[in-house]
Amino acid sequence: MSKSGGWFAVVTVLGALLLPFWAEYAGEPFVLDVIIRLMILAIAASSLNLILGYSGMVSLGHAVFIGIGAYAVGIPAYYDLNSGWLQLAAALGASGFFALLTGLICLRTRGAYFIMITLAFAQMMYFIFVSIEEYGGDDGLVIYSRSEMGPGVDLDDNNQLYFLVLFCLIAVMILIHRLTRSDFGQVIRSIKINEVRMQALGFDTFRYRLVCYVISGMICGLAGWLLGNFTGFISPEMMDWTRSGELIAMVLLGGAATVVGPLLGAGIFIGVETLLPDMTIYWHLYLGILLIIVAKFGRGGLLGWWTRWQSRSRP
Amino acid sequence: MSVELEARGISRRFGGIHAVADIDLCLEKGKIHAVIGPNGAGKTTLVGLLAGSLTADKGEIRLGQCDATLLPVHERVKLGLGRTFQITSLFGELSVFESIAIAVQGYQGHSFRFWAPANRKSALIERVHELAHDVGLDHELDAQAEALSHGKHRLLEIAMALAGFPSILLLDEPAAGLGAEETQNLIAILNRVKSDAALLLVEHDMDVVFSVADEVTVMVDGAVIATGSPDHIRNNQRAQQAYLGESGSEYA
Ligand SMILES: Nc1ncnc2c1ncn2[C@@H]1O[C@H](COP(=O)(O)OP(=O)(O)O)[C@@H](O)[C@H]1O
Ligand SMILES: [Mg+2]
Repeated sequence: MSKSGGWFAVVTVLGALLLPFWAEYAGEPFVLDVIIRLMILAIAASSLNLILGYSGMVSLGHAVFIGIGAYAVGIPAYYDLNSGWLQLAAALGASGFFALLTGLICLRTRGAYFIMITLAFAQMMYFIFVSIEEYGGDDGLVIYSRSEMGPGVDLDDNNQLYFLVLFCLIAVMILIHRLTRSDFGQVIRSIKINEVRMQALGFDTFRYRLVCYVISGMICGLAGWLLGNFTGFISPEMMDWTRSGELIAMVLLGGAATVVGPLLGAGIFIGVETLLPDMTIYWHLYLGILLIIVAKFGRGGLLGWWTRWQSRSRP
Repeated sequence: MSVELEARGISRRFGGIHAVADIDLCLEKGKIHAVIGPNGAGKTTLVGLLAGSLTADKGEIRLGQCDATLLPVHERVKLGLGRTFQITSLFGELSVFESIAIAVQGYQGHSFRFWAPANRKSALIERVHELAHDVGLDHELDAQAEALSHGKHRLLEIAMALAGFPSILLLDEPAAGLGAEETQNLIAILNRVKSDAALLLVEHDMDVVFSVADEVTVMVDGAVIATGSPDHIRNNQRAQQAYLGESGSEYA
């Protein structure tokens, strides 16, 4: 990490730690909700970045893992099973299992076929949950009680939920930082550049891509677990393909294949979503235009633009 | 000398084209087996069939003691097979060091290590330097692979293919586009490598072929029309007509 990057990280983390106290002092509890949502989306976008940015696979069904993670809170809670650890295990287990099962099929395809088949699997889950009347069908399911994590922890306290989400986000970002620089990460990046060559070097590339896909799905399942707790309401709409599209937008806007990019992207997304609806109901259109501009002119998203600007001003 | 690779009756069609038709081939340790033939003769297809990137319609391939006919590419690599590509196939954005390092990593068992930073182990670093030295890329380790000259691209290809101590090495036109000095360097590398491995050398440059090959096979339209020692091929009527006559008249 560069020196300015290090300072930036320290200041950001300090600011994040102090935010709840400021929100209380300033009487702006709504701010905390916005930032919680931002951080959860950043976790989900970071997980997508593993396959989209680092492995070069465009999935249009990634939000399905958010849905799975969220239902892993909602369904147990429906039966009064409120243990957070059980729900977390269910979220990670179910999303990992779903990633493994679908990955075995999806990962045999490439490019447009991969986009279509990930979309197909996500829509399949969408319709499965729409059809299960017991869990509310397409009306969704209200979660009356947040996960119980044990003595001393009360997620109904928004401040505590905030710190849990912050902790998860930092942990995920450190994990991805280490992962992408490890032996495994080196393999994944190299497969993205030249898969045929990697096979000729003795790598079973399918297995590496599959493991990457499962890790990515599980991290997104974690985001779903947090989102289910945060919103207290889950519905199949969470796994709609437009949600997956938003995750792609975040990764590309912030900067694919960087650790911080998805966080920035989630920030931009939340910013546009929060500020623009007051001005126009067509904010999705403006987001789309922004995305096209980034895709056309800003290789590497906001972060790429920033590093280029820095290197120009300081030759 | 031990047989490292044996192919019997391998064939491969592309639509109506019989790219490789019923070819037998045997590679022995310590020997360089050259395959020559005009463009479209099926040489690259043959390399693909042996390496496993193409599947054979018919025939049998043995690597050492193992039947490799149905094995995928990466498992053939585990049995000691290495290859280079006719069209340079590198990791453009990676540095030379990283490119060779990933090749070394491929040889060191699995890479499901998720936490410790890559490219830090001294054994790996040493091996990368050794390989770079072997092909003469010592001073280019920090350069980006795609920024190298064509000649150095070819050397990097070979360094990566050598990373796994292959007992069989398939080289598809390694001398293509090399200058005179680079070609001499390549010949020296091939002569050094062959003491530990069986080599298949697909090559258009007859100077290279006749200076290093222990055995030469001439392919035309997917079939072998002559095979034998370099002297034998030089004096073979059919080989001359089919190939040497047109592009290597000095040997005719
Ligand atoms: N993937 C492919 N699809 C269709 N035809 C192919 C393919 N690869 C090679 N061929 C055809 O097979 C024949 C042999 O090609 P190739 O093995 O590249 O020859 P060489 O390497 O000797 O020049 C050619 O006629 C070529 O057009
Ligand atoms: Mg060829």
